Amino acid sequence: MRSPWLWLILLLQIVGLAIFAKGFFALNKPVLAGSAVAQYDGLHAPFQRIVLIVIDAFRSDLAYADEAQMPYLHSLIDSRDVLAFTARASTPTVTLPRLKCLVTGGISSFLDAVLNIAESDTSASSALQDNWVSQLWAAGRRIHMYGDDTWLRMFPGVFAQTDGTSSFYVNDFTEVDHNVTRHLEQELRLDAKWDGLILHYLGMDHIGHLAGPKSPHMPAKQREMDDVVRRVHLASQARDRKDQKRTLLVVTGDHGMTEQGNHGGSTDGEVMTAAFMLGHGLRESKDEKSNVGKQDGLVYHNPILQSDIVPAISALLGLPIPLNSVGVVPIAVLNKLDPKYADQVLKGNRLQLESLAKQAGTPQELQQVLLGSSGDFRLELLVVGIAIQAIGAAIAASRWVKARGSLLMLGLPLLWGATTFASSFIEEEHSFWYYLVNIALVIEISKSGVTSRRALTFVAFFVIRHLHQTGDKYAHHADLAGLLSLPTVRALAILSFAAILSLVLTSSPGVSLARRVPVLLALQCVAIFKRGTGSHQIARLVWALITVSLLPGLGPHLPLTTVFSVIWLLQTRQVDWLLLPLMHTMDVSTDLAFAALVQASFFSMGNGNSLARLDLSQAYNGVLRYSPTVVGMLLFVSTFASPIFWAIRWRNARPQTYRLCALLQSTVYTTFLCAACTVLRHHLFVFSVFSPKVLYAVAWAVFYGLVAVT
Amino acid sequence: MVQRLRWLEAISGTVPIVLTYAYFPALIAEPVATIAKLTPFVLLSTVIPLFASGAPPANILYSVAVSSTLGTALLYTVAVLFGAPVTVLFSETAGLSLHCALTSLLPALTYTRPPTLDRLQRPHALTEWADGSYGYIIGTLAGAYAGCIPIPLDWDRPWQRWPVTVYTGACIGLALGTISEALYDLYTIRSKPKTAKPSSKAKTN
Repeated sequence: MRSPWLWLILLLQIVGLAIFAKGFFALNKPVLAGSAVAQYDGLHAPFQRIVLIVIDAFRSDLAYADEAQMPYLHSLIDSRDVLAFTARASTPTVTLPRLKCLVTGGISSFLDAVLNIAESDTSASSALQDNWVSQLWAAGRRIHMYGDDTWLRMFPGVFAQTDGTSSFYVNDFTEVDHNVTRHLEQELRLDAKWDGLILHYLGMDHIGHLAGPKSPHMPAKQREMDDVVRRVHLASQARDRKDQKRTLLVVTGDHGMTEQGNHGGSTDGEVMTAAFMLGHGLRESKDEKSNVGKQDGLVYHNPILQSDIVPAISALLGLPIPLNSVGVVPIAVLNKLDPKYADQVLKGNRLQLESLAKQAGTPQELQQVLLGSSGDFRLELLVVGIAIQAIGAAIAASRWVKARGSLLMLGLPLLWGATTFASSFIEEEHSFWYYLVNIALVIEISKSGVTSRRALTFVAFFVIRHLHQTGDKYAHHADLAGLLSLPTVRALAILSFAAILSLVLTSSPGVSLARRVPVLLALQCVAIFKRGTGSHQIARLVWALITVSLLPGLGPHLPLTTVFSVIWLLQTRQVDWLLLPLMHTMDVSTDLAFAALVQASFFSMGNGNSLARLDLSQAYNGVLRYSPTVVGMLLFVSTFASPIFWAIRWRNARPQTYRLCALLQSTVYTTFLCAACTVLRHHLFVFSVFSPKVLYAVAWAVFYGLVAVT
Repeated sequence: MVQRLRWLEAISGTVPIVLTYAYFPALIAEPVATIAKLTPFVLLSTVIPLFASGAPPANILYSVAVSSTLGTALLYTVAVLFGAPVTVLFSETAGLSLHCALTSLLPALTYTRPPTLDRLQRPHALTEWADGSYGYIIGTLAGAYAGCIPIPLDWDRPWQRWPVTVYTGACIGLALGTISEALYDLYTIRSKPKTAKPSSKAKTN
């Protein structure tokens, strides 16, 4: 029953969310516009050229730990011929905002995390503040850039020579770096023309996303990066000897990675990056007191903030510190400067910070400048967005009451919405849903009696919830996926595959062979694809075969849950395959159970409300050339694979109520979430917890919307 | 004749929570030892109304034996299925399960034999068996489950550790459950002035 009411409610929710998002994720207005003016009178800067090598996801231990395969770097550290830092990045730890920080020294808005994904968006550059790259360019220097094309979006028209690579083709981690390194032969020649060279390597980040920091591919990548550093360093020294100028080499990561290889949040692994500087005079003498060699967790050698890299570069190149930088020139760098020059640099740094602070009017604004936060919300938009969503939610609720829907399903979204006012319940939202699933199962069991099927449902859910730890508090605790050895995981995956195979072969006796064969073939394709041949055609064939099997006119088709199971297997990692037969085993029949399982199953796959938990590894199955729509859809299916499964079962079991019920949950919840974000907009966790949750909530709204209207 | 004394059950139902309140710091510091120390008193306070109601002592002994062994094992399994730690804190969960078994299963088992496997699989089997001891069972178990709510909060307080809040929730639930049962009893007696029979039952399977 797809009544027009559903469309109205959905429309109100989407419009309300869009208006809210515009007010919540405001672009950070530059505090100071324009460009700084040079302040070092008559003193020559120590360096005239700069090479910036950004190694994406260069976590500090991947460079500095004893096991790190970076022999050249380690030899430099041993001989004290390098200034080695651990630079702490701020959130969100995704590339675009981190690159902005590496050039402006400022802290940018959360919106950059979203813009990070929309490759074609041009507002990456629109709000760019004063930065050292533009300063060099304005002074007529020649800059070349090779690597992540995010730089091209940030600086259109600035680079004299460039070769941008798309950052989202996560499956490849060799060619993407080879595309950068192949230019080195020409760029490292003695007669090279550039004054600035930016190299941005993506391979390490891709390895992280695919297989994590402990992947067997990582040591080779570390050696590759180490070798690049060696080549650039030696070539720079040779060129310096030839024309008596000095080249500064800065190597840094933009962010780190979690133990799963993802990033976006604020854990130590994600924020601690390796950063080091090479160049004439940047060495420490034997008797000098130094932090080199010290280590505390992931903090190696000299600890600084990522923002501090910019004033360091400015000081070493003789450039004025960008107006909106919140960084401080590191002491290790100051000590290497000529004392009179160092004096000027210190004064300049101090004046720059003071003028930045002066821009703030009220003490609150000043605090935000000092904290580097961009709490620039537009309250009118927030309130209007909430109001519109509230109307949609109210309509949904009244339709539900009118249809004599259970009050329990009216109370659930209110309870769920109430949890948005506690950041803990957003971080640990999985606990809330596992809790509710158990309550739903108890209600079912008390109504239907303690049958073996019900008992099995309890046990199945127990295994499901323990497969992956998620959230923040207990994320490091053991989970089944971590405890099982690789052969066991493989065996379980094979068993799960066999279970689905038997389902396709034996279920629904009335279905013709013509319907079963495409599904069987599709299953076979999934098996081939997952075995690692990686052929894109095979993955696409799966989708084609499934579509064929659902064509009308050949009699009844297999249950949609069975057919979708093939897609589910394609779009999830093999370690999760155990979940599918367990979900098939679970026997539930109430709206409460389905609504709770839709949410709980999302978390059971290891997903969570942090950006770092977004798993990109299945979003490229069958993709040859990056296309935001296709990758976006695959990402959606792989992230929401289990919720889609439960939505199908919900539809089968409760065809009369599921549409409105789903929309009711969704609209009431997003209204509450937006209200909570508005009330708590100055909360400490507004960017690390609430903002990512809003992004996920938009995706959920799309999900529930699709459930309601398809 | 067996006649459940709801008012006595309500009074004895408040004993565990009073004890928990009095020994709360000890409960936080050494949960297992404290639960062990309090268990005899919990047992005593639960059993007194049962004796006073005229239930055969053999029944009471039987239900004490069953609930402290099989009942505890059953509730331990249920607790794990509902999210209790699986690989750690065994004594804590065991102490919690014992306590809950004594305050939920023990009273019910005294008056009603456990349902057979066959009967168990029929609809509403559990609610039928629990009839008459709702206050105890729902109070204890719902209270215990509600006690899970503060655990995920990031306040990092010592009382958020397992099983303090769940145990406390079970005690609060027990008190509320038995008091509600007594009040409900009072209400039904009052609204039926002629039939002075109280609403207790002496059911056997």
